[in-house]
Amino acid sequence: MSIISVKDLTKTFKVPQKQSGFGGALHSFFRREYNTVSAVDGVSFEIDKGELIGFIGPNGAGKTTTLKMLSGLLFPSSGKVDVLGFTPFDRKKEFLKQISLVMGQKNQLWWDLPAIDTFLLNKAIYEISDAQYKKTTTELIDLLDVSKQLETPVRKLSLGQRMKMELIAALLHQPKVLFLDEPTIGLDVVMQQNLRDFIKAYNQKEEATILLTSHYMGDVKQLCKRVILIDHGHIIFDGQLDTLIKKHTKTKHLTLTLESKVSDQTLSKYGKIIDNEFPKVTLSIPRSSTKHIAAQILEELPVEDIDIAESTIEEVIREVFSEKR
Amino acid sequence: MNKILIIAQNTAQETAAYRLNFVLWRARSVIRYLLSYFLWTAILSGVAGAVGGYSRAQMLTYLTFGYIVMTFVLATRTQDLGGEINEGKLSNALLRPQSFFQYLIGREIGDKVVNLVFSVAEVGLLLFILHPPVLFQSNPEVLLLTLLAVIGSTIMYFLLSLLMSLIAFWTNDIWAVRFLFFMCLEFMSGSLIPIDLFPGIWRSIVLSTPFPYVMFFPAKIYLGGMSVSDLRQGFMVLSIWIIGLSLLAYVAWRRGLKSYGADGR
Repeated sequence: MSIISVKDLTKTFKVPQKQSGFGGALHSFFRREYNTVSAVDGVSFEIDKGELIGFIGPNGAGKTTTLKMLSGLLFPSSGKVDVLGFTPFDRKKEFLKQISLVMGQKNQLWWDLPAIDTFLLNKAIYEISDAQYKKTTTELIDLLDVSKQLETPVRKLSLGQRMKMELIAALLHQPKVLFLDEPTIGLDVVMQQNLRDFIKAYNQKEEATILLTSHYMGDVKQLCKRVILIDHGHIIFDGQLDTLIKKHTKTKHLTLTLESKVSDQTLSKYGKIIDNEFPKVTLSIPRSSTKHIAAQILEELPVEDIDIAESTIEEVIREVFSEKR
Repeated sequence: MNKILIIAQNTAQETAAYRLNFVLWRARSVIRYLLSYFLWTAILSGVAGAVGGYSRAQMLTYLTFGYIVMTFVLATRTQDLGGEINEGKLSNALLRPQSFFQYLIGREIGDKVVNLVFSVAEVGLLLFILHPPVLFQSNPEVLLLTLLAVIGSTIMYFLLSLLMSLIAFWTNDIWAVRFLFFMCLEFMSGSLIPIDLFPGIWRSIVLSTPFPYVMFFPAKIYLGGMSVSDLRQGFMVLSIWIIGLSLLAYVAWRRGLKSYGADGR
């Protein structure tokens, strides 16, 4: 049974237009013109309980707008949204108690107070029992390693520390549905990894449904089996990540270590040169003829070492988006 | 109830984070009070008896009590709401399983308690230094009516300030209206000149606006001796404003949420 069901969801915004300069300002003062922009345009998908889904798209594709509609912040221009059997925009208590929206650039913490004050407030608002509160906070504080910063006013925390506190505040009530918008933004690589492990564990342990957007493909690759690609408010792919990669990687990367220099002209006979810095050369070659070309190269060129690799997920995504444009 | 208290407590603590800001805001109130205090002391020292029915003691009582009332009524966090809507910070409150109204009430209580404590302390200090001949009202009926007027005026100003912030759902220009409002408030609240000293037609006009209810009306009741018909009329105007503003605020909130963009985040 699906936990989230979205049908023909659309959101349009009226954006005031202004020409640059003083003249433009004067003009728009007397006669303001608006442009109607569709941030999300006829989007439909279903998500089952316990799924962990990557929501991917370039800046301004409509990812965040969709998350905001799913969590009840925005009123959809048209279409239907159903999350846990509720219409999000009604903002029923029972609904809000079961979800959480974490945004990498948003602050629910009280800016001038220590994070612990927000935790205690959330404890009261979400009606969390003492035992549960203690258990969850101890676990999260320990895992995210922030016990020393609990008493520091939030505005004095570093971006990474703040993000961790945000996450704790958002997870205190153990939401069944979690919307994560760029959760690893501003974190160092070690912390990114910790957070990924944590998200995965949370997904499995609580059978929580998680919808995640991220610019770091590492997040997506490690966490999500299924991905939804969105661009200009339209869904352009919805399915398994593996399928996407297979379908769209028509090429593989062949990296050679050469014993002596070979001219570009000769190299380009075998494939497209991506990088050539002696002694290493990287070629892009058609997936279907990998074996054949590799054998040919080994026979004809002064090769010391050879390595064949799949295209990176970044390249795949880039390719998909550029194809659709 | 617990939830409201925690919010009130956090709000009060937040004030402590901006001590200078708060102290200057208080200083502004004290200066305004001293201004009218010395003005009226000067005017009344030249005359024997009363001006417009106010004796020296009555006028200084009016100003002093009015000062506390005005501080209490005007202490509000609803004026931050406009910015929160524009910057998308409102989202935080909307995501919590708590009615937004409850959240606002919590913040109002926190802010009002802090301001009330300070204004009472300030007045205590000023009374100690200046020794004005203030009168203390002991008639329980008058005190009850005063309390009612203060409660009514608190609700009215809360709604009015809320509405001025809800404008933010439709425009980014949220300060213009508030500036205009405060300009009018300076003259029409009665903090400089009691409204009943205004000439006939002007008095009626001002008394039908919300402004005099923020200070003049409760302070005048406290002085005692207000006619029944004036009382009745005052409470009626106040009630009409409260009902009208409640409806407007409700509609603005409902419709505003639909056009809320949760921008910037």
